[in-house]
Amino acid sequence: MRLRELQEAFVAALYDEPSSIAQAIDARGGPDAAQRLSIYRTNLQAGFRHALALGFPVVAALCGPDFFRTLAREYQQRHPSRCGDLHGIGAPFAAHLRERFADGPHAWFADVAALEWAREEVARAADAPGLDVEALRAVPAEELAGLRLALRPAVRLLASRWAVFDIWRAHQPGGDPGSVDPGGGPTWLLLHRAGRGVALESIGAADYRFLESLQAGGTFGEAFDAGLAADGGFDVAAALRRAVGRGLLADPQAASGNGAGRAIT
Amino acid sequence: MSSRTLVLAAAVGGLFTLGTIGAAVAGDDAAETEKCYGVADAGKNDCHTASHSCAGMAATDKDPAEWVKVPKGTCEEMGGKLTAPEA
Repeated sequence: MRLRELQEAFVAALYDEPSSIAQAIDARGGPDAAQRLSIYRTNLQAGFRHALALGFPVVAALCGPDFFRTLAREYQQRHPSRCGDLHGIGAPFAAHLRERFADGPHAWFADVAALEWAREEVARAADAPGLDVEALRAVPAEELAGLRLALRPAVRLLASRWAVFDIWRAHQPGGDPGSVDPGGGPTWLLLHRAGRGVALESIGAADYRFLESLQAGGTFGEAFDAGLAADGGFDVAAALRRAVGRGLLADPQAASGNGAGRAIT
Repeated sequence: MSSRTLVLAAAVGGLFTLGTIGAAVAGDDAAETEKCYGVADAGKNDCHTASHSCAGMAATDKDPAEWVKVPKGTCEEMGGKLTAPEA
């Protein structure tokens, strides 16, 4: 066997695929190859599972150790780590759970996973300069509607039909996991970096649509319309104040070229 | 000027004091946060994973003879070898 073939056979054995590696090892003598391989396999699974549980402690708690072990193993078979840094393994976890649990009684697990992954993303997102309020105030009134107010990278929005924020909070120290009805949604969540931690806030639907529009690259005017569509009484001044106060907004870039067409004055 | 423009202008105008303070605080926070999270997450990926990984191995493989045959540091090395078989 060439080195490349040996390595591929070794990996196949670790993922429970048919492999000739055990015979190749046994041919060289020494302790039983299958048993030695099982050490690697167990180690690989345990490392993956524990890294996953660090990123998704609430999902792990909801599942319990035995079911989480099964779930992590299934997930690892579908989405093995492709990087020496195990942090990234959680990226497709919510989507995997959405498929795994479909519309069954545990459908809401996927949204809890999405919340936990959003927290990870906020914690690790690049830093970026915030909005310069004076620069914003210098923009002529007629150009405000066409202005693009991007959100900073460390901001995530999460909408769920389930009570995912209540579920998450109930699993924090001092919480009572038994007290929450997952069906008590919907939830509109804002996650952003605050001091040394990640802040989670339940926000209103109109605020959510306003920020969502900005995050998707919409103009100030479009975001205003999105908020109004969710709630006819949407207070854009309060929403903007909250966004600036929480440091959600990045440096504004006036959509000078195509912006003129968008601005309705 | 349309009422929409007036509403948006009023929203921006209302930022004067609050906004300046908020932006300054946010800037300080962000600078502090960058360092803290880098450290915390490195801990997650290296220390915790490696130690848990070894603990998992000990818990599921009870044969002490097999245990001692695994060289120290295998936990960390293994990830690299496995994930880049073509290198």
